[in-house]
Amino acid sequence: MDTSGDDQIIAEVLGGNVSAFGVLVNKYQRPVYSLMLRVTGAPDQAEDLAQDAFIRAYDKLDLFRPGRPFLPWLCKIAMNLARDFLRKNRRELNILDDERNPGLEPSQEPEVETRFDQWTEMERLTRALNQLPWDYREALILRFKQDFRIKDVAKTLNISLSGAKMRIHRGLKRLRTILSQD
Amino acid sequence: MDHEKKYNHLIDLLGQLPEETPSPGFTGRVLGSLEPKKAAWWKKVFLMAVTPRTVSFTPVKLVPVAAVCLALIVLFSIHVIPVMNFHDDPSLNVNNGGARMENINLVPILFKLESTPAESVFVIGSFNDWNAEDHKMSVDPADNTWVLTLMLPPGRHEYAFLIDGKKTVPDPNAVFTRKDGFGSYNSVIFANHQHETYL
Repeated sequence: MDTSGDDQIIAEVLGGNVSAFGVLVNKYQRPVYSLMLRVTGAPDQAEDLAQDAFIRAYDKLDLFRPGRPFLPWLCKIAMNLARDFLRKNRRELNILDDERNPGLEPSQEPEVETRFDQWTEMERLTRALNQLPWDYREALILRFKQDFRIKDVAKTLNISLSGAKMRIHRGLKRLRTILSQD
Repeated sequence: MDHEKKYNHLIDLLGQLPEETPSPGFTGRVLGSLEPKKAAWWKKVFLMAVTPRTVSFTPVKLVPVAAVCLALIVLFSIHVIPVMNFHDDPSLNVNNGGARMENINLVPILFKLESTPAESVFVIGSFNDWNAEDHKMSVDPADNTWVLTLMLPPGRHEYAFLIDGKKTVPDPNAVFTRKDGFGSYNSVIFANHQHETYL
């Protein structure tokens, strides 16, 4: 993975160029916001958390090691903020998922069609993902949507490397089972 | 991971999952909360040194540079690398009658023996296999100074003067000498283009 572009931007920011950080914000706001939205379920809270994640990353930018991918490091900061948020609101990630998404229908996602016969393969996938435990779902999305290395998945979710491998493997297996039953 | 291969289609779909977009102005709101970082000059230099950079070039544009470099290498090898030792190859001496002149840069060396009354004086040395046959010196009768200019290859040469075909003497003006193994001395010269040696 070529990280030289992000590294050069970070060097600019550390040299005093604040506007250069805007390049990183534009580049990574969607995956970070999407991650926070899946955690909180609320767009306003997700946006606040995503904004805080970027601000926190800016403050800690001199701790970032050049040559490594920036998004996993940023997502780890975002996840730490999300856990603090959930703790303050007396919510748990895994329980949140089960309480919130017992067989969630795609119609509860704002952009998804509700009629069964109009569901596309992607909509079926989204519906199936929402039925997975939160950590399984995030492991799959970070690994296959964000193209994280397995160790970056582990760091972002604050689990062991073997734990990450297990969640990815079982997540794929359960996802396929859910889709085959749909 | 090998077990992922059987889920290839599912993995492809996961890669195409849509992402949500925050409300307009998100970037501006983030940047509005930030203060410029103040880095010391040495830190800026350090960051510049450790930051990976991407270098791109068009290969065809390097052809002229490569051609110049190749030409310089060829010129260097022809003019600067020392030639082989020609001490024992008299055919390379241009004054050796009928000798074939190799394509090397010979150095003109003036041999001079002063105030020596004699019928004949020859220069003999490592460059002519100590053979006096072709290197007869000319004399200025006014002061009995014998002279001869020879074209020698660059490098170290030993020599002496053969007087009247009988007596071998070293050059009294030579800076360097070497024992000849027969109880006497040979003179030594170092011929090169930067410092053509006149004796």
